[in-house]
Amino acid sequence: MEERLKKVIQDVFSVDEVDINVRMDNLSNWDSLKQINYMIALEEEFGISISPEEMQLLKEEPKSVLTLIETK
Amino acid sequence: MENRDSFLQKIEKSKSINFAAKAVREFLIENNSYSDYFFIDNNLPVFDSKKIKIAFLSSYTPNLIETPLRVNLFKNKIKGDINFSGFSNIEQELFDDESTLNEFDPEFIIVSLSLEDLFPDFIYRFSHLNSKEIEKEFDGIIKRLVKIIELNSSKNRKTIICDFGYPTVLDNVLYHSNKSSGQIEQINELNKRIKLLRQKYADFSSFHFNYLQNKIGIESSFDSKLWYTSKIPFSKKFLIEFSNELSLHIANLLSSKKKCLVLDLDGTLWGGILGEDGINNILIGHDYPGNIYRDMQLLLKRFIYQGILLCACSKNNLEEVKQVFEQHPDMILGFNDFAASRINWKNKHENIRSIAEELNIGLNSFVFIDDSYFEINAINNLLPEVETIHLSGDELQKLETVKNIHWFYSIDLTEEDKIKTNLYRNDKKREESKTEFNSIEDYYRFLEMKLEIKSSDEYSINRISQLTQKTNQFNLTTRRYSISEIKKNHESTESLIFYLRLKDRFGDNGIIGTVIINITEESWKIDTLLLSCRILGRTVETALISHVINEARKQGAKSVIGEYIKSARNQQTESFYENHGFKQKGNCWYFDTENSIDNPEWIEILTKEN
Repeated sequence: MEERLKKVIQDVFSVDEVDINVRMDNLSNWDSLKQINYMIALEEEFGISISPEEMQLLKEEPKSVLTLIETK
Repeated sequence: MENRDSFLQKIEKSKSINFAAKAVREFLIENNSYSDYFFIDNNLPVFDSKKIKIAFLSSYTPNLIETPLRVNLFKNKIKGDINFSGFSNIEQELFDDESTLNEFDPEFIIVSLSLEDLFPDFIYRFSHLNSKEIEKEFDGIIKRLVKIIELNSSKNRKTIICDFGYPTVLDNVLYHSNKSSGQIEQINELNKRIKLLRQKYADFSSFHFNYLQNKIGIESSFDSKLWYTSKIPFSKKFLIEFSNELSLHIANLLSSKKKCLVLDLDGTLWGGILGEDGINNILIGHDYPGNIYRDMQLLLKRFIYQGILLCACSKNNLEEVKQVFEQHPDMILGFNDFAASRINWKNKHENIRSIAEELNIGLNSFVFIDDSYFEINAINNLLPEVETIHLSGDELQKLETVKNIHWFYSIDLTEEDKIKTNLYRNDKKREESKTEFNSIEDYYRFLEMKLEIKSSDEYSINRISQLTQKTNQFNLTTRRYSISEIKKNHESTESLIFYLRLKDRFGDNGIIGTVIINITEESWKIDTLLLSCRILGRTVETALISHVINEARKQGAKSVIGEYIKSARNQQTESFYENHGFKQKGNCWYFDTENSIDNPEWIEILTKEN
């Protein structure tokens, strides 16, 4: 699961290494559009639906996204 | 299974955008998740080909389309540079010289507006509106679009306008589906008016947004969450399809279209292997799965009516194959539908090459379709300029592939296009009768050629522009002109355009050449002189230049000046002027109109104006 998450982040944010303990909005190329792309890619990769309220979580450490996916 | 590593290897190895584009296309067949588009985008190779600048003007946030659009453009061999202008200030972006849009200076502007933004009452208060009010608003929308097109044209930009989609919620579906002026019909009417603009504005084309939205499904095209959180009105699925179709649209405007489709037979036009199963056991007919092959043939045959040449290329025995086409009751395609065929045991790349020679068209105009990956891969490597379509999977998958063949999209069709296969078939008859004569001159006489040379008129403008766009071999200067540029020359008193139509005993060849002349007091300068490759080798060029010189003299010009600009494909015209007695001075060739050139006796010139 963690590997699949890392792959999505590498693709969408065009980064080589992913640290799942670092907040996503610390990435230099983070913006609201990237956030949407990130959400769409996650929904597709894990077959889940992320509600508008949960979208804020995406800014945080990828670790919290893992928890979110596990609860779905 | 095409995995990421082998994709990256292919990309690394590719020396041209042709090969890399094919790698992207192949990868996307099996890997098309949303993040795959980003993966591809991150790894697109950099070739030093020109970037095409494309800007979006829209009333919503279109930015999400950027990555899929760049990837899909690349798939069509286009390096795209995409720019988005802030939404809802379209006119400001267009008219302000210092706006982001004008600083960016795009070649293409895609205008995508929604009725919700332009005319909210139409969506939310429809029953309250009367027809006059609707008409007034629609007039305003069309005027606004016309302004955008005209402004873009004046800056040499092409405008692509998306027609309007249907609303997700109809005003009152039962009531309005029983009225001829309900919401749906009104939107169709507005879209019709957009399409009519094409007749007047050559730099404009309309994009089939409405059809695409219906194809995908109005509800599946929209995503409430994306709309209310980010003002993005499209679902992921729609974004991907939209970007794909837009890239095909742009590719079509940029490059000459494909002219020829080479078909494999076994496994492509019918199921089974003719040589092994025999004519009675191949799968084609009215029951599954033969009915699928039958429909595939119907789909393929329709290209003929769009001016595409179909050819057959198969490892088989010619006699057996002919028997299938002539005797099998369920075949849709006949052997006569092929402009050329190669039924033999040679390699397909040799066969395709020889078809290209026979039809006298370049390999980069070819598309090849086969169910064998071996053959597809061989062509990809040996003839990289030929586009390939692999018919993989079972019959239902093959049908989907055939349905989605996009290589022959074209925005305009001319009368010539609609009868092209006949034209080539007549050429074949001509070729066959050539051998019965003692000398080529005897053959020319036998042909009874009549060459009509006329000044351009409204009917010929499209075809003249198309000839300048598509003719590579017998083209002295290879200058490409859009319809609007030809129109300008046509209307100008400083230039003169002739077009040629050739008839002979086998039929009408249609408009096969053009000359564009810049007139000055003293001389006629030939800006463009070209002939379609179909009629080369029949001395038409001599008849043409002889006529041009006679006309120039009649109208008082002292000399005719020609020019040869070398291109990769026009070597055969290098000594055209020299052979016709022109004298070289600097970069140009001069002919004194006191002299003349004999018209070949076997070509009768008709000049009567309409």
